This record gives sequence, structure tokens and C-alpha cells, in this order.
Amino acid sequence: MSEIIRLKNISKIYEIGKIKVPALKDVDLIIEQGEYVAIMGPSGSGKSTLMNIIGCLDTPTTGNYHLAGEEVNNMTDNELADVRNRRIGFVFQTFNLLPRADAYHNVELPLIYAGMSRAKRREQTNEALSRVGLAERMKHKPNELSGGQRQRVAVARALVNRPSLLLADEPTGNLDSRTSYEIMQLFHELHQNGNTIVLVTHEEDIAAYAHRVVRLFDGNISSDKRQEPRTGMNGGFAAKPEENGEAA
Amino acid sequence: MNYSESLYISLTSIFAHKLRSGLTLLGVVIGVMTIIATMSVIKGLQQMMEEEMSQLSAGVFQVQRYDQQIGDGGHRRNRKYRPKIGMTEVRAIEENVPLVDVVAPEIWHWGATLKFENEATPPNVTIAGGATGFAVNNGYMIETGRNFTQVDVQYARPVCVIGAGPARKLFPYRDPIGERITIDGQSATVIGVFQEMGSMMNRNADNRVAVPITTFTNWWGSERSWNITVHTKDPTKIDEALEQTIGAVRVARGLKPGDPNNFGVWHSNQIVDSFNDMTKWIRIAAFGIASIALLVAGVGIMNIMLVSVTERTREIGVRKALGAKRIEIMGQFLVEAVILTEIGAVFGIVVGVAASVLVGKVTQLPVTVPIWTIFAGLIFCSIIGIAFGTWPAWKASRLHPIEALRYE
Repeated sequence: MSEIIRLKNISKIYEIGKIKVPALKDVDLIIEQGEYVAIMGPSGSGKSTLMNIIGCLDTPTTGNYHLAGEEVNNMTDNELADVRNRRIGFVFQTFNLLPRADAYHNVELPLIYAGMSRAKRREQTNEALSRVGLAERMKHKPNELSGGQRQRVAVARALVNRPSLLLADEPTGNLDSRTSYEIMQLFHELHQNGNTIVLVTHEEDIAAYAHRVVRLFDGNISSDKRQEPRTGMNGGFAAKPEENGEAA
Repeated sequence: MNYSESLYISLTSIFAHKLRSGLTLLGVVIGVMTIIATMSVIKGLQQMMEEEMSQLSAGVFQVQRYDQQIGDGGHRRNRKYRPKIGMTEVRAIEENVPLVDVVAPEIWHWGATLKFENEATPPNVTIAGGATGFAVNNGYMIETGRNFTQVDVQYARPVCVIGAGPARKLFPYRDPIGERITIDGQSATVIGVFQEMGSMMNRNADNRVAVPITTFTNWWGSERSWNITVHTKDPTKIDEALEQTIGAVRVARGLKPGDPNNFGVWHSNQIVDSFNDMTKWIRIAAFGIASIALLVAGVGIMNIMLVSVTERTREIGVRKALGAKRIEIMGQFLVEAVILTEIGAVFGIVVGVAASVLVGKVTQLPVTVPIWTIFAGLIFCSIIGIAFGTWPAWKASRLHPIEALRYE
């Protein structure tokens, strides 16, 4: 397995007025291809900062960051945009779909910025929408879709560029437990198909789906453990949460 | 940068806020409309002018006491000591300019009253003293009766041909031919009536009476300066004919080499030129008004684009997260600003053309929309869109993706 993420001595210091606030302190982290990692921590622990740096939305104050072999910590805005486009698929808590564009166009967007031809875009967009089970709803706008469907459109958008890394920031934060479960099942399937997933969450039961949990506290990694995921070969998905509740 | 993507985004964004976009565009619409309507009306006036002037057809020019200046009374006053033009000059041209054949003198007098029995015209009828060529030279056609003949001119007969205006006024119910009328107290027999000109430029064209030039001088003396209409035999040699005529008149008036001409030569092209000279200022004024309207509109567009950028901060964040580069974000908002102004331009063109057509219908002017104004409108609006859209677009492109994504 090859390394997708290699963080070495990463620190991030925010300057608020004259006060320097360290958000990350000398963080080292390696994530291999095909891993399913949950990053956890209370608010203020630096997990959002870490996610922004991993997602190439921000650059570290010091340290080196290699993403799929490329050193990204010294890149310019435009180079970072290019890396985000090629390497990373984002899934946000609030979906962040363009409200006036239909599902198809939302999913197509990263390919447009990649400068791909229309025919190739159509092929990959259709494939990504099929992958999340929304091929029939591609002409619907976000406000014509349910919360779970919107998040699946967002996942399709994250997948469409065939990125090295799927980066999900509280992907179930705005969903009810049933649709949260559906999304986590989708992530499970994507992981089974070989995608590398980094999930940022503060919910233990969501982190439980991951194979590895990295905990942050006060800008440091406080623990980094592999675990038996809640779902897996033994069919943890067979029973849905609500059905459990009803049965009880 | 993907243009079809930018185009798509712009149109959806503009049409998502129809009222807001519409109000913003009002200034653009007014500016473009002003340019097109004004230029069309001026073009119409110019065309009509040229049509009227073509009655002084190619190869025809006039020698007059004053220079050809429209709306330039100052010059006229300064030159009132110029000698009158009269028979001497007519003879000089006839004898010394072989390139011309018809030399027709005219005298004009404004403000006469025509009377017949109990009917009288207001004292605003123009009297023209002329020779047989008068009607042809001035574009008059005979409706009924006849023109005056060489014999009428030679013997200074008291005859007249009246225009459609006095004919209607004095003879509402009967044939004027053969009736005796008085022209400022002088008695004359009506031998003909001119066809109605219905001229737009000169409402006076029908309010006329023509008498033989000899009759004119008999009645009112010869202190008025004459206008001499000259026909060139070969219209292509008009420049040469003009030169020779000027030479002959200079000699007749005793001018030394180096003296300025103390008479004017009127030529239809020159009349059109001086008309254009005059309308130049109207054009400049229209452009000024339109430019101010468009500048104000540009500020409005900048304002609305800033609102749009703020409203779509999150969208910008998402696009950046998905890999949009600065130039792509900037391009998107610039395209939107330009499309917004261009939509205004198109509406302005439609309204401007409609207004021109309406003006044409109401005033009977041959109004035509000059094609260049349409292109000028479109290009000018693009420039406005780019000029006022750049800053908001630049602002959008500089947003930090994280802050943009967090924006509520």
C-alpha cells in the first residue's frame, strides 16, 4: 500500500490581533491508500484545521505535507485549486450543492474545472450518479431532493473526479439517523471498492464505522487506534437503527 | 475557463432575480435608447435634407449675396455691406461661363399678403420673382394652369402662379385660374397653381406666389439682391463650372486678386455639410447624455454585482473547494456583469428602434436607424460591463475558500 497522506511536523498558528493561537502543534500523520480513517476531537481540538490542511483548503504554518506524493505545503492558490480538483473529493455537513443547478450539473462541476470534454464529463457524471443510486433524479434541483438524496449527490460530486481521497466533514451532521445510516452504508461500500476515506466527526457512533480513529486534543494527536469497524464482513448493516428501536 | 459554464451560471443567476436585474438594467436601457433614438432622428432629418436638396439637383448651384451658413446670423450682419447681386452678375455668367446653360435669377421677398375679393391670407406669403426656369429650379410642379413664359418675363406681365396654400385660402370653392388677386396691393392675374409640396423641412414651401422677375422689379424696385441659379451642362464638370462662375462674378464685381469673395455660392452638398455641422452638437449632446446614463448604470451594475458576490460567497467557496481557480471565479462574475449589461443593451436597442419608428410615424420624417449605433451600443455596454464588473469579480476571486465556505 502506498501513502496517500503524509503530514510531517505540521503546525498551524492563527494570529488573532497580536495573540498567536496555535491550532495544530507538530502533528505527524500518515494515511495509506484504502484506509478508512475517522478524525475525532472536541471543538477547539484542531480537527477542522487539520481537515482544511489535508483538504488543501489551507496551508500549514510549518511542516511538510505530501498528498499522493506531491508536496503541497508551499503551493500557490491556483496550484492548490488544481490539487483539490484532481486529488480530493469533499463531502460537507451542509451538502453545499449549488441551489439553482440540478443534480447532474452539481456533480459535473469538478469535471468542468478539470477542463474535461463534454462527452467524457457526461460519461463520468452518469457513472457517479449511478454509483450513489440517483441516476433517475439527475434533473432534480437540490430543493426537490430529500436530505439524504442531497448528501448522496454531494458524494457523487466528490467521487466524480476519481480522487485519491474522499474527505468528509461531519457528513451526517444535518441528517436524521435513518439517512445517516444510509450515507454511512454508502461510505462503507465506497471503502470496499478501494476508496480512501477520511471522515471528520465528533460523534462516536459515526466514527465507529471507520477502521482507524485518530483523536485530537489541544492541537496534538492524543490517540491513533485501529479498530474493528461497526460494519464489516459480518453484516453489521443488516439491521437498521430504527428497526432495532422498534424491535426493542 | 469554461465559457458555456460561465454563461449558464450567469443566465440562471440573472433570471433568478428578474426584478433586481431589470431595475439595474434600466439605466443601460435608457442610455442605449437615447443614442439610438437620437441618432435615428438626426439621420432622418439628414436624409430629408438631402432629399430636399436634391431638388437642387446635381449640377445646379446658386450664386447669392451671402455665404451658406445655417443658423449663423452673426456672419450675416457682418457682411451686410456686400453689394447686391443683380443683372450684371447674370450677364457675366451667361457671357463668360460656357459650361452652363440656364442662368436663372430669382428675387425673394418674405411676408406678403394676398387678397381676393373678401378673402385674404395672413401677411406671411413668400413672393418669388423668377424667370421661366423658376418652377423647375425650385422643384415646383404645375398643378393647374401654366407656368409663366418668356413673353411674360420679357414684358413684365402682371401674372402669377400661386402655391397650394394661398390657393386653398383664397379659392376654397372655385378655380383660381384667370382670377385677379392683389399681392401686397399690386394686382396680378393667376395663371397657374403649384402642386402641393407637403414639405416637412419647410412648411413654407406651399405658402408662395411666383411672379416674373421683371414684374417683381417693376412693382417693388430692384434694391433686393438676386439669387442666381446656374445649371451646369455636364453635371460631372460642376467643379469646373463653379470655378469659372466664381471667376466671372469676381470680375463683374471688380474684385482684385487676393480679395475675398463678397458673395456666396450655394451648393446642395454644402448645404448638407453645414446641416451636419449644426447637428454635430446635437449628436455630441446625445452622446453625453447617453454616456452619463451608462456610467450611472455602470455604478448600478457594480452595486448589484457586489451584492451578488456577497450572496454567493458560499457558492464561491464550494467552487473553489471543487477546484475553481481565481481566474475562473473572476471570469464567471465578469461574464455575468457583461451579460447583464448586454441584456440591457438589447432591450435598449429594441426600445430605441421602437421609439425611432414611432417618431417617424408621428412626424413623417424618414427615420432610419443607423446600423453603427446598434454595434456602438453593444460594444459600449460590454466596456461598461467589464469596467464596472471587474472589481466585484476580483473581490470574488480573492475570497479564501475556508472563509467563503463558513459564510452564513
